[in-house]
Amino acid sequence: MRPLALLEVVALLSLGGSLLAVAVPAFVMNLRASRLAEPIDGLASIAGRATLLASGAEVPLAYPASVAMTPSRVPAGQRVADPTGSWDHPTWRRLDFSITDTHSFAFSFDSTLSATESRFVARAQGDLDGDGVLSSFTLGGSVRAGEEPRLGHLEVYREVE
Amino acid sequence: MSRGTLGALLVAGLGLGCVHGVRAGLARDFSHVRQRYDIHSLPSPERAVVFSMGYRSALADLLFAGTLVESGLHLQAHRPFETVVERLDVVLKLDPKLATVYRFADTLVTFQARGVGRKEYFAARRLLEQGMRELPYDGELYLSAGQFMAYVAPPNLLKTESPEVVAEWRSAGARAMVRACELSGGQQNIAFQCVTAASLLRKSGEVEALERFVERVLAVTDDPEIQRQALTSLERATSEHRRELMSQRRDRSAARKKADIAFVKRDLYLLLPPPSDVWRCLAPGASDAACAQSGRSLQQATEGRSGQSL
Repeated sequence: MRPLALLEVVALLSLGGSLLAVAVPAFVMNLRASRLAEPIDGLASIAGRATLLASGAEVPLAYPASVAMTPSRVPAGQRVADPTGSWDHPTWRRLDFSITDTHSFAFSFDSTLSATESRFVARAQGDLDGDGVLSSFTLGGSVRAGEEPRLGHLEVYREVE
Repeated sequence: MSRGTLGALLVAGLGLGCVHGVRAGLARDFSHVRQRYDIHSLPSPERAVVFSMGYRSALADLLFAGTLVESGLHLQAHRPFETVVERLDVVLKLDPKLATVYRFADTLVTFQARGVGRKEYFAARRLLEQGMRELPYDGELYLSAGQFMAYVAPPNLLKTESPEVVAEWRSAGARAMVRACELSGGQQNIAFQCVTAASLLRKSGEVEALERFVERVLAVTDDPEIQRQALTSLERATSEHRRELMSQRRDRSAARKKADIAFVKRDLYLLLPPPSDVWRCLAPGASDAACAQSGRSLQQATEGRSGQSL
């Protein structure tokens, strides 16, 4: 078999390098994009259950109590598995929300309760590239006395970090 | 150095020079390029089935994974995902039993970086209803669909739809949640949330459905808090006489369970036939209740004797 000439090697490396230069960033971008389903689905689930609970309760008790970011450290650049009991907080149980598989985002639930109007904000934070800069997704809702509960729109901040 | 080597190095040097010369300008232009519209590049659902050459589930998985990626890319670009419904239609034509698609359907269609319109809400409902037809025993799907139709979508539809249309959405959502309750059995968490569906039935005046629903919730749960909430919703909608008859029936069932096998959970006990004593049944003049083979025949025998019926 004839060895490759230098010109052929240069051409081969150029072509291969060009392909890799396009394919690798695109692959990484798609990989991260596919992980954005996790916070959106999680927030939709939390907000849906919270709204359901609010519809059957008095306004001052509409939403469960606040719960801090779970897990407490936002996963940085890798998927993490939570230790047993991470999602045992009464609020997560009332919202019927837990993550049993490895995941890339942490979730929190903040509620503000009063006699006339109660509100909640569900938040998901992640650090897909592990650079310490967090992306944040929030979805909120509210209920006023005498009205049906309402759900807000999804808000996204720095989703690509 | 040979002439060939020199030529190769010259070509490489020229290539590097060209790249260096045009790269900055191209990168600047590329950074300004933004995709604004989606083009639906998939074939129609029917053609996609043929195109799969029999590997329908595999192609459905592949397309759904691509849809999730596309959804994320659209979110990053703050663009509406205009072709998501068409893509999901193709996936579901290929594999109508792919439960994950139905679970994600309302989220993918209605939770986008920008707000969505009535078309998306109706499309999400269509997909969820298709899911409930295809997977009639998936309690989680029914609960999720019920939440969406009863609570998530209606406030957003009030701007464009008449109150009657919105009320129909809530009613359909309540029915889905009732079905979720029936399918959930004794799962306390789902049962607790399902009790709130009773308020929807009460508000829409579906008293009979409310009675049936509350009676089933009471029959399968041992949680006193859920029972209290279910009874509260019933008190607001039905007469005292009806509640008394239902209470009697519930008490009879509880007493029978206590005397028979008290340690079994309520929902499991309802699956068992009534206790029977073969010798007493064989005795001359034995009552129908002693020989009952099912809960229904026992109820008929008992109610026939006491002259009550519901």
